[in-house]
Amino acid sequence: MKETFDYARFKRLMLICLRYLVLIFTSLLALFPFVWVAFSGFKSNQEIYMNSFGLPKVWKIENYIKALTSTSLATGFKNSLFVTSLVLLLTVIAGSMISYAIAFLYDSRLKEKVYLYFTSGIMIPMTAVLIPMFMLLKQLGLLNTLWGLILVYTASQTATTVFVLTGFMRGIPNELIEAAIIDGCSNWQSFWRIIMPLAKPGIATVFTLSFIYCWNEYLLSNVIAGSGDLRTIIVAVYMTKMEMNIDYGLLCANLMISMLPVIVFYCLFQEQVVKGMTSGAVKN
Amino acid sequence: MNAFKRRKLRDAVLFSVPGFLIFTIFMLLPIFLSFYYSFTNWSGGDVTFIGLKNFREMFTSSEYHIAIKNTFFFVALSLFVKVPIAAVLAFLLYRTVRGYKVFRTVIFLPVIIAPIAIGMMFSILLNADIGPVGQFFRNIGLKQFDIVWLSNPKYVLWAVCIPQIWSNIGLHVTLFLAGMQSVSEDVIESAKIDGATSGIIFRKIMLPLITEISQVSIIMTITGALKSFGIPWAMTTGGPGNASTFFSILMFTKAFEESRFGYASAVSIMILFYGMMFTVAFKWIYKKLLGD
Amino acid sequence: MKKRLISLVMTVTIALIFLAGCGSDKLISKNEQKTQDEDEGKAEKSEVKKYKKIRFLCDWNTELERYDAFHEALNKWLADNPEMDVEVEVALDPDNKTKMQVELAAGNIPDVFKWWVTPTNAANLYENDAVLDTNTIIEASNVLTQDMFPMEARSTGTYKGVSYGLPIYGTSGYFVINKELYDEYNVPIPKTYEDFREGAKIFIENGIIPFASGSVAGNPSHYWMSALWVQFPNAVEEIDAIAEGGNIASATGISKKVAEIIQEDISLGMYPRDPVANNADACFAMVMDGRAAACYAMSYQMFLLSPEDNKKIELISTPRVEGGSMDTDEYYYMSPTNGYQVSKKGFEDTEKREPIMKLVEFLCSPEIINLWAETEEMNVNMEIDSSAYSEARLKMEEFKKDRTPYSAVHFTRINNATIWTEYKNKIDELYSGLITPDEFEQAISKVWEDNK
Repeated sequence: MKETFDYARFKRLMLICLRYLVLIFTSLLALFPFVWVAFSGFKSNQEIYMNSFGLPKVWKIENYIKALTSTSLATGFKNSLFVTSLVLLLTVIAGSMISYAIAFLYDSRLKEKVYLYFTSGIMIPMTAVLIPMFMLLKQLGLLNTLWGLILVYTASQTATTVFVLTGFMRGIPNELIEAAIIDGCSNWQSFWRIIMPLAKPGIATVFTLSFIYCWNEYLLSNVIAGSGDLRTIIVAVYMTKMEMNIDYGLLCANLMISMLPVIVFYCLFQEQVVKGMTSGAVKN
Repeated sequence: MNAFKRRKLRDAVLFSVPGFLIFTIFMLLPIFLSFYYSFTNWSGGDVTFIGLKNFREMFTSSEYHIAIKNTFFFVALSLFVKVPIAAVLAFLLYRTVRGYKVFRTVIFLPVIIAPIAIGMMFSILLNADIGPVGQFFRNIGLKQFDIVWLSNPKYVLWAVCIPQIWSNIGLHVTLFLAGMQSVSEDVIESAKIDGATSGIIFRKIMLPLITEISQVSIIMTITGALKSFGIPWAMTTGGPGNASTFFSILMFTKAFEESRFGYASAVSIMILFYGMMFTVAFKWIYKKLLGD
Repeated sequence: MKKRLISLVMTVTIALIFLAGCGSDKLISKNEQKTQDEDEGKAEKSEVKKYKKIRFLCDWNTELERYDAFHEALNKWLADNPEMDVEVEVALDPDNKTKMQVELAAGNIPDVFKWWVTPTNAANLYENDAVLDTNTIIEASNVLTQDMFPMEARSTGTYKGVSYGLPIYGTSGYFVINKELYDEYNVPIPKTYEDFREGAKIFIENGIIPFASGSVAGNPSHYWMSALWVQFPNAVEEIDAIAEGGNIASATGISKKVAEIIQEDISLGMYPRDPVANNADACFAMVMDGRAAACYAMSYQMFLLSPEDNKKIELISTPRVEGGSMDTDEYYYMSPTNGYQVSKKGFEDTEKREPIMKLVEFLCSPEIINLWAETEEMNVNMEIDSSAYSEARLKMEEFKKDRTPYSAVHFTRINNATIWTEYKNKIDELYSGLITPDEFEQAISKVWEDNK
């Protein structure tokens, strides 16, 4: 009897070890590029090529100092923050209102159609709409303004927002709304006072995804608002990439510095994000 | 329609209006314009209607077929490799009580980096002449693994697909984990008491209960794979030749290197078409599989 | 508690950003630095009537010290000329090409821009009649003259018989060797291609890449290909004929011969294993780092050499190919590639014409021309102050001294964007072994047929 017990226990311990090994391996795989970029920021071009995996033999701190004191990165940071904050604000408000309407207000005939209308947006690649978008913005006088960029990003993120939040809101029991209506609340009030607080985790999810998107989007921001003081941070980082003489060390340092806000943002919000998905409400 | 229903509809429309305006003007309108241009030979100057000529040329061009092959390969790879691995990893996290939050955060981190950055990073890493990956294999004596990743047409597709999967899998792990954590504990507990092993719990119990999250994950995977641009562009610009060209790279090259905006619009219409087709097909299969 | 603190911090930050964003005029791009300087004399400002605003696009990277002098000169001139209202935009290669395409499609190109004059990068502008031809620009100016821009310089910017833009500078090409490596391994300087291959064997045995030639979307391989191509009989005439619609694949089979040379080189292990991953910059760095013994480099790379690196290298004549008829000791490659373009639409706007011409004249002034001359091969007939030449520059001048320039390369002669893109793609495929020399010849012939 004792033997079988030990064997089973042993097997269980082995499986637990295996599980941790897999997770640690995966985590290392995930972390490795960050570590690589961080260290490469301290190396010269030569070292990056010759001594890629090692610690820097010569710690070239100038790259990080340049990155931290760079005015163009600071401007890029300001612009990105401005654009991203506004996009998040607009997207969440517009998107959640639509999701609320789809989840609670539209009747079944229109519900599916409206849902489909908005979520078809997630299939649209930015490269496809670039030129017509540009012409449209030119007609509206929004070229070379951050507002043009904000509106375009909002349009694109609305699709994702509706996709995620609708599932959420469908999970919130109808009775809550009905109770509110019986109590005399208008739709707006029940939306604002009841659903939104409950949907906070879902909003955190959307926040994170949109933040990452806006912060990293390169093509559009370069073409629509790529000049001088309007650049977003990712465009600014890529300006340090000279066409003929790329200083990879400086580029890596800039990349690292530009990634920090997003990492911080995610760490702050991640509890909410997962809680959001966890509320058992992400249904379709 | 009674007053109550009418008010509901009125409010529904009012609620939808802001989002509707922005979305339609800045997202759908350009798509319709694109649709229109796909029937023209616009190259920056005059716009002349040429009917289906772009599409006919596209369907008979070898680069289009290579792009289809590559894109569909990537969609299949993502669907059959990335999604299952994400589910398994999520399950492992689910079963881990201690420190799972740390793992979860770390695994999600690659999602945060800009695609261009990932592309640049991996193109240095995989450079067969001076990159560390090749050096690594040479140093530990496994010379046969020292492959020319980016220039050898046989391997370049793998070389551009793996980083994309790497960068994106964290999102799906988090999604699946969230879905699993929303399953009622009791079901799992009773299965454990009944003596089911992890494997059985995973396959027979957990999977069926997270079908909704799986749907979200799969749809995002399909649409994301069809749109893929940043990473392969930064790594190989679709080369050598067209060996690692995806739809969106083909579209970009035609529009911005060859100035053929009409033709490029036709390519982007195909991207949308395939997206819709896959999504519809997937939903249909899903319904059949679930039998309800 | 923590949550509330975080949300408070976020709200305050967002509010501050809002205020910062709305308060400053950063919502709309403009040359705020200068106009704010001009605001100092508010009374003066209201007296000076400003011209209509014009847009100037350049690639003077504000991140690099090399271009600071350009921006300073420009800003000073704008301050000295307060009636000018210029919006300066900076866009780098290759994003500037994307931007230009988009702006062209929307009918919104900059009024004056520094750009290529070669059709390979400006065909869309020429096709759509979007920019002015050289004569119109010169005639509209009181300062510029016809001899400032010699006819030979205008040849590359000629499309369908018309020369466009103002050609200012060009590119020259050099076969660069790492002399230290050649000395270390006792490899003689190659004169013929046979010598070159013999020497390569020694390098390969010692783990050095004999010739750093990469091919990333055809760069820099297209230059190397042209350098080999031009040595064959009739090549120069054939390449020149391309501009008139001649076959890019060469009627005398040169394309196949060159492709065979390259294929042979690759099979012998003379080139880097990973051509698609090694662009011009990486290849050049390999030679400087001692990983590769030689490469074919362009003047814009040479100008950036540090004095230490400059000591390591030597410039030699391209090894002579078998069957070639060109004495490579007599020649060097040089052709005009860059200059200024003026938007036709901007010029035709009567309110913009004067400021545009003034800006163009400033951009062709001795001050700016001498700034260009420090790091570029000038093609203009103007006084150049050569006292500030770097060591590397002097080395190039020494090399060119008794040689005749030739300008026949595909880059400056192909005038159809589709053909150019396909041509470069096929070079990539050749380098990575996807196609044979035969297939290369057929493929580029076909793309020319389909698009001529």
